Amino acid sequence: MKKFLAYTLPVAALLLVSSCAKLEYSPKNSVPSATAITNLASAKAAVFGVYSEMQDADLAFDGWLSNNQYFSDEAAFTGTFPTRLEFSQFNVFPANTTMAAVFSDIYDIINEANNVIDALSAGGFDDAGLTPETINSFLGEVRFMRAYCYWYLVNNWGAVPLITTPTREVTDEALQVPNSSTTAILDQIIADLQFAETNLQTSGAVRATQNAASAMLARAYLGVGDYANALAKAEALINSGDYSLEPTFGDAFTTGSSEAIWYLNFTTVDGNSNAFFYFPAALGGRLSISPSANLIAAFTSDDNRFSATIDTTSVPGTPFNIKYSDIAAGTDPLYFIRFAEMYLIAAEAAGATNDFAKATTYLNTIRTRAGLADVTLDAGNYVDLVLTEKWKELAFEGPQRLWDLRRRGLATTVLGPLGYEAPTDDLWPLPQRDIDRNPNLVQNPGY
Amino acid sequence: MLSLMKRLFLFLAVLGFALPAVWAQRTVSGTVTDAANGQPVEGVAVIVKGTTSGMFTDASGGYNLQVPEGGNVLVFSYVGYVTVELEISGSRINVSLEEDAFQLEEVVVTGFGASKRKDLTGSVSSVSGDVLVDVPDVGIQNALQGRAAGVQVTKNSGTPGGGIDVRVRGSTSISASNQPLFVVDGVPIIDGSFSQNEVGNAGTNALADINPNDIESIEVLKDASTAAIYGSRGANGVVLITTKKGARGSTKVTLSSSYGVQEAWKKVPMLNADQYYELLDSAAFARFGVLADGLGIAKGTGDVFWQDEIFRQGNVTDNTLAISGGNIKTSFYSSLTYHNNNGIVTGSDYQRISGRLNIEHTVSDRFKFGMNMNYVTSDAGRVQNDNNIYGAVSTSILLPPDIPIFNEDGTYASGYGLENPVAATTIYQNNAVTNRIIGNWYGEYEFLPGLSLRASLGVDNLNFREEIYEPAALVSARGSNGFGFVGQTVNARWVTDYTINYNKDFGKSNLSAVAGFGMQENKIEQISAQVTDYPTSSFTTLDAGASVQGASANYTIDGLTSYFGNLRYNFDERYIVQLTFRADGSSRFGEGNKFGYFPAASAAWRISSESFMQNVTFFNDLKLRASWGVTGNNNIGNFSALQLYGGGANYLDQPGISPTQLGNPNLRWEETSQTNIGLDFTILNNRIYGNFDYFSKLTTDVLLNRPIPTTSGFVSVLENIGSVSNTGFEFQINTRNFVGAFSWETGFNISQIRNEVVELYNDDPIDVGFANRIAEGQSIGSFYGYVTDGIFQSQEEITNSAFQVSGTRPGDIKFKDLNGDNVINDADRDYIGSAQPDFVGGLTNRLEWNGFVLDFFLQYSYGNEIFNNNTVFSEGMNSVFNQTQRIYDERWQAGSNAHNDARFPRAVWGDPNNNRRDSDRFVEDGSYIRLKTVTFSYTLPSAVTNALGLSNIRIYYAGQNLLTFTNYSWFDPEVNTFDGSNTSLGTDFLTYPQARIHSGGINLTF
Repeated sequence: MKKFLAYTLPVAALLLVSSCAKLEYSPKNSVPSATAITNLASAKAAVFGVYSEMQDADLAFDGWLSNNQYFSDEAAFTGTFPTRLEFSQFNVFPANTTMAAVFSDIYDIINEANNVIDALSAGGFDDAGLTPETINSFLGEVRFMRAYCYWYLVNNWGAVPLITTPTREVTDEALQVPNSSTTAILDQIIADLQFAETNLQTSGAVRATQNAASAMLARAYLGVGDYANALAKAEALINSGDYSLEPTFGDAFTTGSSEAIWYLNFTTVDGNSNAFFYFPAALGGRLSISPSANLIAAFTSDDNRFSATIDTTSVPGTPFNIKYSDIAAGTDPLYFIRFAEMYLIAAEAAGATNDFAKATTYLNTIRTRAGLADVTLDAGNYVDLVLTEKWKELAFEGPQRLWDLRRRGLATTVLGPLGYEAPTDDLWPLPQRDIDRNPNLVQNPGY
Repeated sequence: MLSLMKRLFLFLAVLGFALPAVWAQRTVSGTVTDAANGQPVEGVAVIVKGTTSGMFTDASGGYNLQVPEGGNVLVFSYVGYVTVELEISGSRINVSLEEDAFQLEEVVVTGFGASKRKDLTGSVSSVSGDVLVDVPDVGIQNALQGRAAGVQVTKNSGTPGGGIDVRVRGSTSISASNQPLFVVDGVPIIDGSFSQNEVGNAGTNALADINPNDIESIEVLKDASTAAIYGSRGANGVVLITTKKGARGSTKVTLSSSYGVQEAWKKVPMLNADQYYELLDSAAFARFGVLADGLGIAKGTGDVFWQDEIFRQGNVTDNTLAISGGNIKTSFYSSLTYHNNNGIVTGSDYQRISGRLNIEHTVSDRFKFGMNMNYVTSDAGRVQNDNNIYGAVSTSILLPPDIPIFNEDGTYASGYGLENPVAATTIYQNNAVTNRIIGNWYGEYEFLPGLSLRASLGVDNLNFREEIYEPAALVSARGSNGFGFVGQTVNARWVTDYTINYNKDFGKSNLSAVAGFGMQENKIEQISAQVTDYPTSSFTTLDAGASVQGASANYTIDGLTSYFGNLRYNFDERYIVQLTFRADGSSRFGEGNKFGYFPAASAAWRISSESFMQNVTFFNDLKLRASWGVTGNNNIGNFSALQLYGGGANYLDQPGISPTQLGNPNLRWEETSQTNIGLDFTILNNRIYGNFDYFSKLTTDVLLNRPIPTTSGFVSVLENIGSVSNTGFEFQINTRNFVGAFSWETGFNISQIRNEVVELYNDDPIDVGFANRIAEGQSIGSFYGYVTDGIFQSQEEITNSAFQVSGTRPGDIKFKDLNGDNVINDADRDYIGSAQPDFVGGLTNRLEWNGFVLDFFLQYSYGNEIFNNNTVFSEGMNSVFNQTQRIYDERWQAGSNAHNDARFPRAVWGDPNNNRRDSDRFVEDGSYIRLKTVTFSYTLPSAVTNALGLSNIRIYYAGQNLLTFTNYSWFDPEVNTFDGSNTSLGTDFLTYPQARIHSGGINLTF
């Protein structure tokens, strides 16, 4: 008996476990990319994945907001990260890791969008719910976001690589994409936005809509100096009846505001840290960024937007921005496009096309809501007045102040005293880690 | 394969049963004495070779044994003596046993086998578990650090139960783990950190679960010929841990108890409130021409030296009850240990309760089986540290001294978003509880004399649960009104091995062979959830949080299937050759790349056994060894070969998916080929024993997370690219300076390893950590940055130097214009040091006299540099953080205070010149020599002991980290804030420092 056991036990054990040994396992929380998008549900999930990437922690603060706000007259650096300090000192090095993270995250969104475009364009889905219209609407959403990203890239870095196909292979040819021309990038942006404007079927403001595409077109046309088209797109939205200015400024950038054209929504589960960075320590924040002295001075005492933008009383001696206030859960939306901007675009575009009556009307609409007296625009003052109004109206809502100053040739005048030096500071350096890895990529001048 | 195995089994079984076993019996008796003093030795096992017949000698050294017919050799063995085998030539056999001075006869465990030390052909370092017994600090690192030549151990912080990095003969990989394979009683165990919520960089350490008291010996397989039997996991060396087994004989009960106190051996002088505010004033004035209040910074009411508020006198307790014994057929060892370590930072502790039962039973002369089972439960109380604004050590350095501990209303005061250090160590709650079973079951059946089959099934089942609660009174949870987190990891691993062992003497030759088959599966499942918004701080569980922040899960699994063999031929104990081969298939690699093949060959020539050496009395033993072999590394993510879309990319709380990795279907093994040449010698009448090894390792197809252009949407892709080399030598010498009533033994070892990255993709360097750079021609762990050239003394000097920034002023650091383009920019950076030491090693001494034993152990590391990132902040003089005393005293000051020889730059708010950029300013010499442990013990005379009814009483003092000689300016040179990193090395940043421990203990044996 003993001998029997002696040799059968090991054999039994062997049989028992050999059946479990494998060299093939499948992940449970991932699927192969090739079979990721197959039906309506997975297509929608892939589109939502692109929105989710826009919420990335590096982008939500550094990317969409603070890098540009430091690198302008909007905000002062009160944090501790040396890489953020470089932005506030107008001295961004190619090795800046904060910048590199933002740059790579933007391209991450673009690659995700390209994946969705590639998969959905291929067609052949066995799902009746995935109609051509639905597919085109999904395509419109991701092309809209791709356009938003390229607009951000071209304004901050200039002639970056223009990539419109998904990355599938690890070859030098696939990876080492050279700089494109800014013209080609701008053409792609306009094409993407026009496609979105035509094909989007979504509504609301938490996802891209036809109106959001029109608004982005207005912004882009203004940016490239196509004032007639900018005016047309902005006025179309102003007159659409879809939006209205909130009577109280403080209500304008909250969830569900009547000014919401497009905002990035955050829930308690995927909340951002924006309030944490803007709020002082006494209130549980970090105060990495503060309103600049220039911005505070720009608000006149009768401007009712001031108290809804900057809190100077809660912590004596420490003014801080309060457009983001949910420090506990981080559910503050990121207002990418707010209706008030359409008036400001229209005002500037009208001024640029010498329709000062119209320009004056649009600007005063914004001033009136702010509790300010009317002004009269003319060729000599309209740029300055509109840009200043936009600065105050949209303070801390995005990256646009720097771009507005640059495209109007005011950057050196306004930011020069703070350390801005053209032409180097007209663009940020391309991240060193991309320069090092991509021999086809040419660094921006001055770096 | 299965059917093949089955057929083999049947074949062997038939052979096994075919042998008749009809033996008659006779009697042999005799006495066993100690060759040195002629005294009888009690408890010597006398066994008839090849049978289970045997007995122990009695108090007078006598034995009287029935020998079955066919039995013709007696084996006399006793721990510490050279085992003797004698032919049964008559009915009376007396033996005198020689003490085994340098354990040449000692059996060294190698993978799937064992060898006498004198017969080893490869390079194996052995450390006895004895060295661990008295050491108060938990962990097996104490057995390896400074004691095993060629093994570099860094305890990355002083955190109780914290992480260790072990490097056997250097760093071979860049992206796959460089930690050796740890094997306990044949089970490759789980190591690493399972924490899902960072507390800074210090991870948890699964190796801390191994109870040092249970360790009999540790063997480190260093060269390819010994590690190749572990094939795909052998490239970083293999650490074999053998736990204690019962000694045959009467049951022994040992009670060991120790208690120690520990404290930080150094604090860093920081500024008091007046000095701090004065420095702020001068920084503000230098930049804006206003004093600090002009920046809105008012002086606070406190004056606190924060380090005093977080460091405490901690204590270490260790209580072990071990019972072991057995008869000729069965042996057992069981232990129960309670270990408690209250760390030197308030709030940090580590508690371990460990139970073990090792048992082996010989069923018949053919069959034996055994089981080693270890259950461990540990509980680590953790505090946040390192690069973390809520860290305890972190804020004790950086929080300004003028902030009081408490506000007037009794709440914790704080400032600038930093945590209050007292709050960080008292009301922050973080407990990591591990429940774990490690064990194996094995059976061994001898079919024919010399031919046996062994089957072994091992498990390591680890359940790790961490629970964090941050009450709203903490700065970190003030905004969220309380934060709670629970994470759980279940790591289930099973491993099975079947080996056929063959061992046969043919005249002067001995042939031994092992052929085996093994499988392993490792599955990790993780979940976590976090909530915020608690009603009050009395509620600490997740259900009380009003706002659910999220939940996540992770699942990963991999499998390994292996075939291996080992052939060893020994001729006349003069010429020994060994061949090893292993084939490993891993699920981690893509189709067609799953299997890797790992061959090795080695040979040894025992010169001292040659006839021409018989008259050379100088050498007692002399052996030349050489080996070559290939080992591998598969320590990467389980699904890295695949291009994947992952879930969890949600928006609007609706499901989203997104690409997660680019994947690389061509992934394959990383391979390390290693050549080793060694010399072992014992000379001068066994008074000096030593060995010398030279090795050269080349790792090719290095698994590297190659950074790719980020415009691809990915940051990196894992590829087999490049190569890394490690070459070096190891020298170890043990001497018996005095023998006899007073004895003194000394051991010394030194190793030198030259690590070099030979090739990377396109020569592209990779920046990691704070200032580490991986680059061709440099060692892993090199630092990269600007080179300083003194301090600007005048505006004129600035004008005449390369342009730095427009804000450069006298008192700022002058950086060297390395490329001569008259502008200081990224191109002016260079290699400014390396975390790799030139030499490491240790010195042990043991002095014995009349029951008194003094052991002292020095450990050293020479030529390594540390990037002291602490000073980037605490000597930046650019913001509100508190600053060190030395920078206040020795900074450059304008005007009448100016001194041209100032070591440090001026204080200036915002640091326009970026004096804080990565530069050689922050690179310090990290060399040190440390009195690591001192043990002084006294064993009471047996007369006293016996009168008390005990068999042994020993009392001792043990000290750890008693003296450290170093030029390093911060807490401790043994540090790395990037715990567990392969490539971010030698960096100190607000890390929990090492403790100095004094402890006393007693061992009682019944």
